[in-house]
Amino acid sequence: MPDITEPMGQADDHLSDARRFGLLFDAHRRAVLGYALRRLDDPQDAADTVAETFLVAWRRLDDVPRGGDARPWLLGVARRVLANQRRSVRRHVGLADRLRHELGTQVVTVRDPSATDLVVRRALAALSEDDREVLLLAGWEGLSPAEIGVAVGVSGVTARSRLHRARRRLRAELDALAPEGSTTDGTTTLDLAKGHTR
Amino acid sequence: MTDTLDQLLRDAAPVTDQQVRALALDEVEAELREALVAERRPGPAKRSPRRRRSLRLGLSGLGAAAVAAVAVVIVSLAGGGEQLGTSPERAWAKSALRVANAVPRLLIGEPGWSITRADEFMVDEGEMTFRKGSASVDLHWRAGSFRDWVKDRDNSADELPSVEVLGASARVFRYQGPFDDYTALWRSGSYTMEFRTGYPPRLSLAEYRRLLGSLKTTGVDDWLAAMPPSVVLPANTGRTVEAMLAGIPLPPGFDKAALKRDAAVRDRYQLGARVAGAVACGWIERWVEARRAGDTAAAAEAVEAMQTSRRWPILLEMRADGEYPAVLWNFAAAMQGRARVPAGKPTTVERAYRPALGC
Repeated sequence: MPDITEPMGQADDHLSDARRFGLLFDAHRRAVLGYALRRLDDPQDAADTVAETFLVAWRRLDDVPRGGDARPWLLGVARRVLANQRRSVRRHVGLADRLRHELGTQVVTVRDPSATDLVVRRALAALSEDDREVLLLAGWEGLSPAEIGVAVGVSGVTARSRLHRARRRLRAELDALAPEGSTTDGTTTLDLAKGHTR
Repeated sequence: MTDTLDQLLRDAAPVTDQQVRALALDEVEAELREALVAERRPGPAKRSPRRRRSLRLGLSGLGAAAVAAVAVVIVSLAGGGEQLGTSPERAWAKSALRVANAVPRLLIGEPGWSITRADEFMVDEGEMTFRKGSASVDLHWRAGSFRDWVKDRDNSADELPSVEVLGASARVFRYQGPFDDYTALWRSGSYTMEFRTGYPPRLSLAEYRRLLGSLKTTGVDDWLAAMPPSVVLPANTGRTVEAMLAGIPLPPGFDKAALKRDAAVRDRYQLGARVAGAVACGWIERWVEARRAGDTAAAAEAVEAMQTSRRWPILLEMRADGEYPAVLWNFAAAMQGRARVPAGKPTTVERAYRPALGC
């Protein structure tokens, strides 16, 4: 299993489309799956997200950037696929039936959230969708601001500026919730003091 | 510190990368891959020019349209260069007029509010910040589905009674959370407009509703004239670049003239990223080459030059508005240390500097 962040090399320029797609799929399948699993209530639905995201990639292979931008590009597609799934306008992707079944039978362990995690999730829930998405692309998917720009379709400078504003909003929400969070289980201390400055 | 915040977020993820990697799905994934390749593709493959993104692209793609449009260009027609639109008193950059003629041109009708930020500014999508004292609001325009935006906001906010804005009914929402954080959505022609309280939220609901109701449509001249003074005029680019470079050590062969020839109009943040980035790119490139060639003196010179970036005035100025300076300083620090930078996952300076700094 290749590392999920392994970048596509430059040497694949002359490979056939099928071969190039195969490399793309193998390098990034788990990144797309992780993105979906972290955002969906039912792990099985992540199978459709993966299938539909890579179906878009296959059909628009010429548009998929080579090199390190492929992953954020795919996550940007996955983001739109998920939005469609939430709006229930997606079609069911029959191709993903076996993956769907496997995801249903393999237990995808969801960690019990700590008191701090719950506070962070509440603060995230209070943000706008735009703010939340850039924060999670950075925090959960590990994307750099330039990569977030690729995923959400803005320049790197703009993404950096949005991320900066979103972080300020999140800090404000966390500050407001911190006293409550710190006493949720009587022991947890939400260490946000260091987060006040940039 | 950003690191602390990112760590909190990482810890709050319901599923980790490690857990995802551990799933035994190789066989069904291989099956899916084969099934996808067997799917029909639309027509013969079209070979379009490969898109390339970088920070510099931020200045030539969306950003260029954005910033160019903020060209509050008050230059004489004899100035030459970019084609200009004219009005009886003023001449505007053509690119600014293109946006101004296409999008809803709104200003706040209440006294004392001025536009302080307009760095995302294009025909399809744009946003600007209005500020009065410590209070601020953001106005967005987006060519897109009104219904989708309403549904999106409805997920994370509670709907309040609507407000009439220029003959349209604006749907008002209060974001869930401890703050008076409001947003409103309405249609204006083919655009979905949004008006959101800025950070930190300082407006009561009554004040917010009053501001929303005060929005007025303006003419092209008035609208462009209201743009912030931080916008750099094309006629001033050379002088501004020169001022930004003052006191900064330049790498050998640095092409200052190319920066000055840049005809696009940018706000100071975007131009600062381009100028500081060009210097840093030059030094890092030299450092990479010197290390390859075993030229320790040249490598040391580049490291030393990059260490001065902590004092570059333009970066200190930009620090309040975004993270470009922090990213650049990461590279400076990495050059001095183990030559690795945190870019999503830790990577080497050599691999990461071009996309990260827009080289």
